[in-house]
Parts: sequence; structure tokens; C-alpha cells
Amino acid sequence: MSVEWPWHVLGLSEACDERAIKRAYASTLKRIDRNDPQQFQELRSAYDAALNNASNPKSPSVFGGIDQEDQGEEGDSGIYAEHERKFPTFYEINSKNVEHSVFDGEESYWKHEHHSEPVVDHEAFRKFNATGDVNELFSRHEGEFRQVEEATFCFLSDALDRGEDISKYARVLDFCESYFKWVSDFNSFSKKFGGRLNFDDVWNEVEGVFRFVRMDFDKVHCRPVSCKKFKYFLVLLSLFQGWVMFYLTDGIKGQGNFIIGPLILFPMYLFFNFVVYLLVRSVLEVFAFFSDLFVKKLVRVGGGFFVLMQKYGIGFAIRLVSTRFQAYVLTCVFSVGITVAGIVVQLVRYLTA
Amino acid sequence: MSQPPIGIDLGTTNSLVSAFVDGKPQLIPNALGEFLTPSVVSISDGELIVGKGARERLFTHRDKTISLFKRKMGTQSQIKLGAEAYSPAELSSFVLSKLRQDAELYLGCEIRDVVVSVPAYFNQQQRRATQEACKLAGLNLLRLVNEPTAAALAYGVHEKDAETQFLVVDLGGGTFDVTILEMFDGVMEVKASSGDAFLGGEDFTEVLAKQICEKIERPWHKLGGQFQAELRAHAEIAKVKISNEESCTVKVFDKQEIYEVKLTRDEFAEGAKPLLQRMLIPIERCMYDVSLKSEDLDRILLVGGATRMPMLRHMVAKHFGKFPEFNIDPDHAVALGASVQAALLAKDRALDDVVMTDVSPFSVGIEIGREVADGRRVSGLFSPIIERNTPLPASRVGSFQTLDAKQQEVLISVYQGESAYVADNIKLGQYTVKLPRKRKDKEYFEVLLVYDTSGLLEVEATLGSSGEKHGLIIETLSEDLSPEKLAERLEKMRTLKSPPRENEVNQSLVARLDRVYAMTRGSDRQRVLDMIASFESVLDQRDPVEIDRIRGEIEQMLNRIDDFYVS
Repeated sequence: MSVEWPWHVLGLSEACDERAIKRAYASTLKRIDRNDPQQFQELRSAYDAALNNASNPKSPSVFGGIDQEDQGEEGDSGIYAEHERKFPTFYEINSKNVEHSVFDGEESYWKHEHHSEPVVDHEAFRKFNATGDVNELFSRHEGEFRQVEEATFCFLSDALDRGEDISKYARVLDFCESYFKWVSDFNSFSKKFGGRLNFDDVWNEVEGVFRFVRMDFDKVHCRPVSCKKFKYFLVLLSLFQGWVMFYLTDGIKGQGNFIIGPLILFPMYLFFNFVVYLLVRSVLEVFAFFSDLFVKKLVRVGGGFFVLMQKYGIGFAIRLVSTRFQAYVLTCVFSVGITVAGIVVQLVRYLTA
Repeated sequence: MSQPPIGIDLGTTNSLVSAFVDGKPQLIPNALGEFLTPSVVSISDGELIVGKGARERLFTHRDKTISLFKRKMGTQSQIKLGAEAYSPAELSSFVLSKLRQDAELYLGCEIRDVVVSVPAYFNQQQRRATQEACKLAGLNLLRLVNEPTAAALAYGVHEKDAETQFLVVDLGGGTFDVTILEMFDGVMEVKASSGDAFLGGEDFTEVLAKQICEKIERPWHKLGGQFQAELRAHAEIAKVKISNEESCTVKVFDKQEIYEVKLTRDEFAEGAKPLLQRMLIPIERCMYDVSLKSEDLDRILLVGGATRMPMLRHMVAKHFGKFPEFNIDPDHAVALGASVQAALLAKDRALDDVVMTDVSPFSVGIEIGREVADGRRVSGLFSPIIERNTPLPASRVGSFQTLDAKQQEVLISVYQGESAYVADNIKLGQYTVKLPRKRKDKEYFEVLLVYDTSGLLEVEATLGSSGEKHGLIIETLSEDLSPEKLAERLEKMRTLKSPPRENEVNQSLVARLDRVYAMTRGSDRQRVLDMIASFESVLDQRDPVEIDRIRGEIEQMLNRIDDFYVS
């Protein structure tokens, strides 16, 4: 990237004021092929960056926030670094695309030098997290909605910078959602935290916590585990059951046809297994439903502790895999048990007879 | 003679067509000499009636007449009209053909290339349906222009050297749009667009109709379609009336009784409050997206017939602390602007140094899944790549990673919308990319989205390990309407004849007489019947001068009757 960027794209030789930038942009725009995304975007991002620079003369570099990001990546895992080398265009495009946000002016809070402003009362937030008393927060900022939003953002940002586990602040996150709709509007969330290196982790954590606090169980997808193997196993098992039962009853006495006999018994056992599966599944569904209710109740009463419990999978272990999967496993175990028991009983009868 | 640039405003209640002639846009009148052609379609004995005549038939032939079909654009719904069912796109194409006829007659040349305006907040499916309608009407769609942008063009074309930043509020019959534009050195730049595709003047009419209903103490949902339509018609007239006066009286006949209902402006404003509240959401979103304060706006333009309502003007003035402007007739601005856009595309010399850039009103991105902290997976999430209100054409890259090291392919589904869940967004297309086998680690890949002004969306995935590229081009605008299917549908529509143009004026009067006859009772009804009889007999004589004379007389009398009902 040349030193003169973005000025040379606009046909300017040095930093100018807004008026000059706009004039230069207008004349360049009329010259280029506006239907070519590449050309247009190049001009456009130069224009945005130039305007940004003109309105923030304090920061000498347009990429104030990016330099730091680059440094951070150096120490990051190999994938990221390699990735960067292979696709320089990606970072170029993104870095040019300096976003405007509510926090313009004090742009990019993840930069440490900006942390002094606005003043974030960490104590107030911790207290709020413990007690859930919103009034305290608002009283500090005299009801200024936007200020509270900024302060909340700063607080969470700080916590993340210190490497704290963000899920500890369940109430704060809940507050973000219900007042600022940060989480339900993914765009707005990514705008705020998008610049962070560990954005994905943050989103995962926040989302995980948030879902639980909001008790949005419907949207929680269970771990998708394939049940195919169990299906095949149950079919084979039915065949086996048919064969064993035929052999141990009629076969052993030398009656009946050895091929047709088991085949007649097979659908019977298949049907039997299916019924068992349905029964087990319905019981599990009912159980899961009530356990969900129970956990919701616990969270409502107990708050943060149970959120943590959920995080470590204790809260609703029953939901870790789908009830379908559970039902298949139980049915298989049951059917195998029945078969073994059947064999034993028949053998005992045969031996004693 | 080659055709001049043509712009069409295909509205919910009214449609207009305009041409760019002699360096400025001008509207084209229809057979009745009016600029506004109601977007109403009616069928009578295999004959197709579009416009004012059809609107009069809304009461008398409810099952054969349809209006407000723009609201159903982009949905799969089929609307029954007499014996046949039509899609909203087909119905729109009837209106388009009608406008085309008018324009061809007026300009004396064949017309093929047009620019059609759509609400800025129309999603891709709705735009696709609009394009289909053009195809069915035998028109070649050069570009879909966003309505507020078109309106701004109509305003801006007169003062290309001004340097201003302004907001356009466009409340049409069925849709609401907000757009912020900046103008400098002949560049018209759309900075943000937002809106509500299901909020419009018709909703206000509905509020008023329900208020009438409340006052005669009858439950709205038990009224029956005929009576509801009647009330709505009264409300429509009353709405226009109380925009100019403080109050008005509506007379409603119901079971041998005449109710006189007094409607006041304040009550109406009170009842419409929830609608006004809904309008503030897109406005605020726009202001947020460009991080502007209301002081930064130099002007506020009101477009769309419904912005004539005083309460709306008050709301806008109060919200921005500025008086809105409406120099151009709010009904005309969009159509005028559409032809300006057409002229821009045709590189008309009068607009040599005007350039316009637009934005994508929705975010475009792909579906992703995420693994949350404890290993559970959440799927069906939306990850925007091109964020809403990005200037077009745009190309952006998003980088992603496979969820699993063993994963063999990724499904790239492209969506449009603002929800965090793809299920609530609009799907544009999808394709599968096979990943190289024998990997030790999760695969990284980049997805490049290129979205241009004509609605073409290019998707390209680049694998991190091999650098292999897999591309897909989604023509978000053109549905795969095969030639055979098109021919089949055109055939179906060809069975409908259009009435001869010279009859149109008379036909619309006959329809109006019929409507008034259905509305009135007693001696008034007898008078209307007399009028019908005399008009029919005059029509039979085929003396144009005499027909014109009688028509004028009848129209005067009908106006008096209509005034009696809403005064």
C-alpha cells in the first residue's frame, strides 16, 4: 500500500479538507467505470478513509485501529498468520473499510489509549451484576441512554481485555440485550465487537449465556448425532432375534423351515422393537420437557450460579444429545437385554426338559 | 423515431408513466386525460378493464375486481378474478401494458425499454416479481430504481450544483420508505435506505374505516366484505377531506337506517398513532446507519400521496425540527424521477454530469453454524458479508472456518436480511464446495460477494489450503422463467381482450353510475337509474358531441351525490 493512500486514488497530492475531498471524489467517480465493483470500491474506500481522516485530524493514521490488530496477529496461531499472507486483499479491503459507529469520535475502544474516556465505573457494573439493580447504573449517567450503552460496552471490553470470563456477567449481558438489543441484532453486535481478535469466542460465549438467560430453549439445537447406525443395528437385531427365537423353539425340535421360519418372525420383532422405541422416546420427551421447565425455574430463582452450571453441562445434561438419540440407545440396550434373556430362558427350558 | 427514456411508477393504489423529453421529465396522461391510473384490474365478459373504470367496479363486481395487489408481490398467492386465478405479477403486468399503451399513443412510438420504480425496502423476491411483470407486459426492464431515490432524482435534477444532505420520506399507498441522500458536484449519493414494505396510506384508510365502524357501533369483522369495502371507500374520501378541513361527516346506510358519522382530524390522528410510531423505526435506523443528527439534514422531502395527511407532516416536522418540503406533487415525484433514471442510463445529454450511487438496503451474507463454549453447535445463524447500506457496486470478503476437521464439504447459502437467524431472512441461492480430503486441521475459506447495481450477485469461495476458487453467479433479479412457460402465460393472458381506447371514458362512467346506483336508495336511486338509461341510449346513437354533453351533465350530478355522502 503506497504511502499516499488514500489521497492518490482521489487524485489529490496531500491531505485536504472535506470540501476538496468531495470535489475530487465527484470528478473521479464520473471518470471511472462505475459498474466495475473493483474500481468503484477502490475509490469508495479511499473516499471514506479520506473523509474519516478529515473529520478526525487528531489521529494521523487512518488505520489507527488496524496496526494494533496486525501486531496481535503475529503472536497468533499459525493459521491466522498464514492466512493473512495468502490473502492480502482481504485485510486490505477490511482495513480500508473503517466503520462509523455510535462510538465515532472515540472510535475503537479496544485501543488501550482510549480507555480513559468515558469513565466507566466498574464497581457499579459489578454491583449491578450481583444485585440486578438497574437504577444504580442509570443514576450515574443521569438517564443518558447512549452513555450507559457506551459505558456498558467499555466495561465488557475491559473485562475481555483482562481475559475475564464474560459469562460471569450474565446480568450485564441480559441488560445489553433487553435495553440495546445487542445480541438479537447480530449486525449491531458485530459492529461493536467485530474489531476484536477473539470476536468469535466472544460471540459464542455471549450467545451461549444470553440464550440461557433468556430461556430461549427452542432455539438451542442439540448436538446433531447421527442415529443411522442404531437404526441399522435395530434391524439386524430383529433379524437375529427372529433367527435365534426360531432356532430355540421350533428349530431345536426339528420342525419348520429354517429359512421361512425366521423370516416370519423377523417383522414381528421389528415391530416390537419399533414399539419399544416409541414408548421410550415419548417417556424421554416428557421427561426432557419437565426437566427444561425445572431448569428454567432454577435459573429464575437462583440466577448466575445456574447459568454457570449450564455452561459446564450439568444444568441440563439431558439436553446434551437429542432425545431421539437417547431413545435409540435405550431401545438397543433394552432389545439386546430381551434377546439375551430369551436365549437364557429357552436354554434353561431345553436343558431341564 | 426512437423511444425517449421512459419511467414507470408502479404504485399500490395508483400508477404513472413519464418520459424524459427535451431535457426534463414529463408525465403522460392516460385515455381519461389523467396522470394517475388506479392500479385496479377488473374483468367483465372476458374484457380486461384497468384503471379508473376498474376502481368503480370495486363495489359492484367485487369478485371480478382486484386492487392493492402490489402488497402481495413476491408471494406465491394466486388471486381469483372471475373464473381464472392470477399471480400478483400478472396483475401488475396488466397495469404495465395499459401504461405502455397510453405512452405509445401519446409519444407516437413503440416502447420497449423502461425503468420501473419499486419501494426501496422491497426484497429480492418482490423485485423479481416486478421484473417478471415487466417481462409479461413485453417490456424490457433496464433497471429497478428505488422509489425514494427516484423522488430525490426528480427534486435533484433541477439543482444539480447544490450541495445538500436530505432525507426523503416516501409514504405510498402500501409501502413506506426512508432514504438519506447527499448531493454535491453533480453526484447524488444514497447514503442509507430503510423502510417498511407493509405500511402505507391504505393502513391509514383502514384505521379511519374502523373508526366509522366503531361510531355506528358495529363490530368490524362481522360486517361482511361488501359493507367493509363500502366503508373503506367512504374512509378514503374522508381521509382526503380531513386533510384539508378539521372535520367531515360521512353518511352510512345500514339496514334502512342512515347514520351520520362525524370524523375529526384529531381523532384520526389519535387512532393512527401506532402507525406513526412504526414509521419512526426505519427513520431512526437510517439516521443511525449514517450516524447523522437531525440538524445535519438540510431538507426533508415528502413523497407519496399519503404524505398529504397533516398529522404526518406534523410528525415529521416535530421529529426533525424542520418543515418538510413538497414542491413537486407527491404523487408525481417518483414517476418523474424514474424517467430521469432512465435518461441517466441512456446517457441523455441533459444529464451529462450527473452521477448517482445507490446502496443495498439489506445486508447480504451466508448461513453459518457456531460451536458454543461447551461443544454444542448452533446452526442456522446469519453472518453478513455486505452490510446494509453499503454503496453499490460492492465486493466484500468474509473469512470462515469449517466446524469440523473431518468435514468434506461446505454448503454456502446466501441470504439477504437483518435477522440473526437465516430462517427469517430471504434466501438468494446456494451451492456446495467440496473440500480437499486428508486434512489434519479445520479448513479456512474466504467467501467473496460481489453485488452490483443491476442486481447481479457473484459468490466466490476460496479455499485456504489450496487456493482453489469455486464461484457462483446468482441473478438475484431474473427468475428462471423459461420461454415456453412465458409463452404459456402470455397465451393465458391474451384471451383477455382490452376494450377499445375511445370507449374507455364512457366505460368508466358506466362503472361509476353502477357503483353510485348500488350505493344510493330511494329517489336518488331512481335518478341514477334515469341517468343510466339516458346515457345508454345516447351511447347507442354514436354521436360523439352528444355523448360528451350528456357525460358532462351526468358527471356533475354524480359529483353532487358523492359529496352528499362525505361532506
